[in-house]
Amino acid sequence: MKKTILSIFVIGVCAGCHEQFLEEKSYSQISVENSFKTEEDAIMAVNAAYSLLAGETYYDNTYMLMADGPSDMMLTEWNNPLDNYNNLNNTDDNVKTFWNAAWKVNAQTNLVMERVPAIDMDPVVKNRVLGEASFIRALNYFHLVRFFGNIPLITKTTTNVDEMLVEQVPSDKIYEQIITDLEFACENLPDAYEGADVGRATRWAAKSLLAKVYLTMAGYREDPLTGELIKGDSKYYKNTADLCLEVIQSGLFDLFENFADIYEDENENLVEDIFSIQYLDGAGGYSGGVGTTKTPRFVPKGSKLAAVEWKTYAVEKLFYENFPDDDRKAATFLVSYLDENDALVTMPSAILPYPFVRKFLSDIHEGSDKQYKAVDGKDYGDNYIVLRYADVLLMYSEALNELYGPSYNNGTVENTLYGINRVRTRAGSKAYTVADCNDDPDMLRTMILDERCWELCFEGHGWFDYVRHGVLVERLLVAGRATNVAQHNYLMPIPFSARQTNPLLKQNYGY
Amino acid sequence: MRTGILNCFLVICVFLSITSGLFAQPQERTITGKVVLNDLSEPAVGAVVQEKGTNNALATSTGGQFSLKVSNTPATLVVSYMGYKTQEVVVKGGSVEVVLEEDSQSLDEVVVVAYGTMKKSDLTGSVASVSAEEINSMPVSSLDKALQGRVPGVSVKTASASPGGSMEVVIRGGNSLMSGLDPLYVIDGFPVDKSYMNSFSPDDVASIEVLKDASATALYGSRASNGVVLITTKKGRKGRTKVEYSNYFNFQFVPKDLNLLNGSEFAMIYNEYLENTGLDPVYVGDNRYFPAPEEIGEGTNWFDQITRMGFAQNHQLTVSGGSDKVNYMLSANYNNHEGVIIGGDFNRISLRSNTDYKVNKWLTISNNFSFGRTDRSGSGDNTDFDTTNGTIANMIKMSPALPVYDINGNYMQNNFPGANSLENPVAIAKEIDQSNVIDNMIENLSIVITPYKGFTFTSRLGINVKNNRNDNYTPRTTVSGSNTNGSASISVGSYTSIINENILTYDSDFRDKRHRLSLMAGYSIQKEVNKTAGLSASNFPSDFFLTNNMGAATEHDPGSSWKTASQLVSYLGRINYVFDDRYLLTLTGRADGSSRFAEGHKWGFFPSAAVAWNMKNESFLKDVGPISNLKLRLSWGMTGNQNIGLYKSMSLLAINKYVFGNSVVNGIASSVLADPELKWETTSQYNVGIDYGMFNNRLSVTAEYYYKVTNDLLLNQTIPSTSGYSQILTNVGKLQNQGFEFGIRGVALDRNGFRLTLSGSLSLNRNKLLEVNTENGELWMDDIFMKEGYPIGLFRGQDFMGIFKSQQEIDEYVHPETGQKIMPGAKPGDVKYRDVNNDGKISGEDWVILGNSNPDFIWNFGGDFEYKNVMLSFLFIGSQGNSIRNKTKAYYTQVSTMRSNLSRDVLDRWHETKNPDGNFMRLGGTGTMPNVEDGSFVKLQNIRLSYRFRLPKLGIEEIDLFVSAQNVFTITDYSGFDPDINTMSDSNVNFGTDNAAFPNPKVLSAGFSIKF
Repeated sequence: MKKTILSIFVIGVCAGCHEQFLEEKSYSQISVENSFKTEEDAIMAVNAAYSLLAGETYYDNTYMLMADGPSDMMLTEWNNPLDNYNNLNNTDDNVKTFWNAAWKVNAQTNLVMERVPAIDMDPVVKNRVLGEASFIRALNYFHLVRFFGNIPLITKTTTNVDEMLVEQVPSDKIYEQIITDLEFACENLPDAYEGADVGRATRWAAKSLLAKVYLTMAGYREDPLTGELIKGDSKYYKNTADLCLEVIQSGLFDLFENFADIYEDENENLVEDIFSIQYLDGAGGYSGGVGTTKTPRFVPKGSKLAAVEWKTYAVEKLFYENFPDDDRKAATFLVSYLDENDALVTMPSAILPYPFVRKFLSDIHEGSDKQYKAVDGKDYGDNYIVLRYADVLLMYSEALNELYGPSYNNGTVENTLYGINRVRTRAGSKAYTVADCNDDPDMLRTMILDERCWELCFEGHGWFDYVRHGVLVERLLVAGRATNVAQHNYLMPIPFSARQTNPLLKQNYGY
Repeated sequence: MRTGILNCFLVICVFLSITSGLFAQPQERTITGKVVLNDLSEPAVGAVVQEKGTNNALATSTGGQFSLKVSNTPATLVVSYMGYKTQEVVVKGGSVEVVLEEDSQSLDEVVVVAYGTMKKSDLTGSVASVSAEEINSMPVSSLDKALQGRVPGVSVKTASASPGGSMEVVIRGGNSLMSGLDPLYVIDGFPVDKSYMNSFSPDDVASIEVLKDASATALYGSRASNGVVLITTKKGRKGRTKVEYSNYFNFQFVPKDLNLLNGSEFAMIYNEYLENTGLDPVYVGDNRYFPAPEEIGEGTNWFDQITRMGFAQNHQLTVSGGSDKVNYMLSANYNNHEGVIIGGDFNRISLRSNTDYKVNKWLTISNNFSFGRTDRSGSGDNTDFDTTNGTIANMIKMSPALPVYDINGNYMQNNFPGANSLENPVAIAKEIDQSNVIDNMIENLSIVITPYKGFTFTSRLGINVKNNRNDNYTPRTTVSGSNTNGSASISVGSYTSIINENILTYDSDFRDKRHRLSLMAGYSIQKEVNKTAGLSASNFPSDFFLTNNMGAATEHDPGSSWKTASQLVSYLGRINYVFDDRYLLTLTGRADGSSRFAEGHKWGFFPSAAVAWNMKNESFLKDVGPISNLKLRLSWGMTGNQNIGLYKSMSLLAINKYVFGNSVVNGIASSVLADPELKWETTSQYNVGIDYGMFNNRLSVTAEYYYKVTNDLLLNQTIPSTSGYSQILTNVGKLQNQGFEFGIRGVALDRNGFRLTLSGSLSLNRNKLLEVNTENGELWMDDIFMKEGYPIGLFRGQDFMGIFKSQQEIDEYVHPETGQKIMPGAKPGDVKYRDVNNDGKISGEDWVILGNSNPDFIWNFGGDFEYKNVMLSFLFIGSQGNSIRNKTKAYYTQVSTMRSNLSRDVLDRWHETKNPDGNFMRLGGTGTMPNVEDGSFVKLQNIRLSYRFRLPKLGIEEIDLFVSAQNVFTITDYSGFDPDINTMSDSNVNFGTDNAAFPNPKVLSAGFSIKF
């Protein structure tokens, strides 16, 4: 009997409660299943979306290559199809990199929107987090739709491989989603942040972006199927003008007195800044940390201006030569600096055969006479400005010009030339009058576009502006930049690898 | 040749068996005697003494005594006792003492199977046993090394020949592309991983069973698809206390060097390389360390500088004994090994205690405890040219034109401009302070209850604790250490596995024992936890501290730590049914629940079924004298592979950082997309086997064929990037292995005290990828090209056609139809490639299969020759038809850009004026010389001469003296150190790569064992 009891006892002790025992528990990595429980989780999840925007495959590098490289302002040193349009095709690595990075951002924002609503947390913070995610998703889709035209519209996460085989939708559908997301963001984001939250997307960032979305919808875009250039509906200029006016009248934004001040570290996130990608100096390096690689990319190799010199980006000489001789010219271009021995190096020379970009070198210390001087820097904290007030002012003029022509004047602010002239006068150029463009909207349109180039060059607008104005091919041909540029270049190719993994995707015209 | 040997062997066996037993002459007598076991005091109680050819038999009484009336004298008595060699003695009359020797080869020996033991004759599955004798005939520190060439169907390759280096054991081909290929090791019922092999002494082992087919392995369910190696350690036996001491001493010698250029040749070749690429020669004598070639002479032979004679010693002390109540076995082992590359050492101290306590008639308590501490410094054990501190790699990268030390007595830095390392290999070998200490403990407590006749209940609670600590200090005397002012790192790990198993068995027979039934049901639960932590620092004030005061450094990396855990719950059962000792049936099943999979996919069921037909026991064969055993076996079963790593079905989040308000904040981003449907890879295996014995099993043959298909192969599937991810680990592929194994063993000669036993085996395996998920059915992993319908393990590349020796040859190498030059850009001395697809140009589409890392077959052949007290044994192993990608050679024959010292083959390089007939490509030319080589070999793995004698008067039961040699010679065309190599043993698809391999030394050994 004793034996039987003992046997049963031992068996009994061990069996039972398997479900609990077999639960897979992760200790060193958080899983989706055990995250999204608290307010902190929600905030960290949306932080990650910002962080993905900040990565090297996005704003830190690849975005610049995509948005500035194919304009006639930026020069990349190597034989880069995104610079010279030679053999720009579906196997381009940078295009693929951006495509993948952008969809990663989209997946993260979708994850936030799916999981955060169920979290028990402060409703104000919850709506803010959802607003931020909406803003980022819209910003990201705005880039995707402008680069690639018709793309899949994905607003849900899935682990089912079959569900991942999604067809493209017409770009109008994407714009609808962008507008929906931005309107939600406008409603739910605060006017501004304080302290440890400075840098998050605000209502005004959403409004400014929405203004730009409408402006783009009203402008030119290529039909991905036929390659035809189509002009959008002009009614959207009204939306742009109204939104820009709201931003202007909010009283929260202004221009710095000096153009060069925009890029100073201490001026980050101040009045002219509407939305920026945030980087921090000296906090763990530019690789994998929170510093940017942008700075060293603009440093001429061999200049010893910085510890790391990548010389990725320089300036097209013609752009420099045609640049108006105002305050912006000196602040924008690096044409001389002091070397280690305090000897002056000037363009043209072996290290400086053409100008480099000076705007973003604020992390590199300046010597006497405002000459950049060789220093030993490690990592860099320059923010990437996505939206700034000058951009809004120029969009305002552009929209009013399209709506009412150059002579529209309904007060000091509500007139066509208000925006462009604020930008010009701050830069030390004289204000335009209606006579300067012969009251010709076409002429003013070109003048505004030129102003945008001078004001916003290398800040991720160039290619988009040319596309919106429908002047990409003509501008690049005139500049002698790219003899191979063609009509189909108004869109980028859908990457080869993307179409391999999803055969439903149709290639854009001409690629 | 080999078949010739086997034929002779068979003829001899047949001849001998016919001529034996021609003695009998009738005369009735009583014979008395005593049967003792191979041991001075132990009588064999219950041994069966039988007059040969009759039914006249009896069992020995207490004290081993017997008294048997025989019909004829001289009579031949057959004495048998389970677990001992059956012995025949010819007796004329009077008293006789028969000493039985232990034998693990006897047919009715008990073999260990999954969750139990079984008579060998009752086996239905494929189980191969390796005896303690075979293991101990090789003086090696770990068991897996001793398994090499011992078991048909088991491929054992050297991953690293360094002290404490690991082996690659693959049973019946690889079943997986992404989850490990290691078999499951189970020691005394406790599952352990491969790393445990170093932590215990092979001398502790009583027997090894390798379970190969699904019938044998399926009881281990989700861990069984790579086969199972069951290790049983020694136990005490009833009787007096026995003490055994054994040792060996190994002297190890570097087999050969890589035949690289000497100093002046190197300088000459480098100058020519520079001239060929339009640069100025540097070895012109204007600098102390760049002398003109003729001033250098031999220079430094760096290989000689980093190698030494290796030495290993092993000491084992075993004490065992027992009474009616208790039996015990205690052992202690010390192993110390200094490898042939300076700095590579291995030390082990291990202890084991196995005790059984019989509390009463129905309760026995057993306790197995073992502890092993190993300390390994793995200098020289690198498998990569890209890392900075590999001794072999840096030996090849170092300029032979340099001395070891500079004029100040410091280590000379490498000044060879092409090398990507400035390190001096001698500094790496001698100066880096490195140790990896592992403490591995297993405590296994079990109770065995036999409540009623036929029932046995066993409950076991076991724990395995493994703690390791890895210290590494790179001092200023090395280049990397001088850059960092000394750098130190410490990493620690702690692994715990707890297991509880409860097994109930019921054995019964009925109807005059014509039906025998054995049932087993069990339940098992296991939890594993692994924790690691690490820290590293640099910029030390002095090299004094090593890793003993990390606080002294001024630069500290953020520390790291990690924890993982997994659980397994299983139900298992087996039915064994034997009818009339003729028809055998085994059914097994195991249900495994694993934490590694998501809800709804945690449980898997792994069944097996096997039948066997013991034909010898059929009436028509019963009296066929020469056939002593004939059994046919057939089995089918399914097994799994849960070695997929942990958390693979969980979508994990990664910490990424961002900035708000000028301070850093954390973000958590989704980083891995997991397939919640993920499940184990499942292998179905069919096995057909035949066991054949002749002449009272003097000759025994086993032949088997198996066919396996692995379904739900785990692969990373590329997915649309619009999902935000690029790939997902999922079950999509299909893989097939089939093979044939043949083993033979026979006593070829047994006369006048001479006894010659020969054994051999031949195994072949063919694998084929049936299905992958890529668009074109092709896949690359670990340098291996895979394609549906092709074997796994193919090396692929351009087809080398020699070199262009003149411009004319280039001009004449044209497409036959278009007349276009195929390699218009080539220059004389460049490599010529074949335009395989005939498209008039050389591209990736011209790649061909250069070799297959799977052998056509592997084989072994061994023998024991005994004469009185002397025994000579040998073992040959071989592999036929496999290719090796010699990446070491690829490195030291690359001359398109010179980055290391080079093979002396380069002296035959093409040069327009100096050597226009050269067959090696031009220095600085385009292309690479071929590096996939035939890896076939024949190796005399072990030869051993021993002398065994007894000194009963001194109380010494036996003394065994031996000398032996390992890795004696190798017949091969392979140009590297040794064709028995796969430095990529971690890869599942790469079965033969030599990347900076450690030289496999030749070994001379001597030692003795003494039993009291």
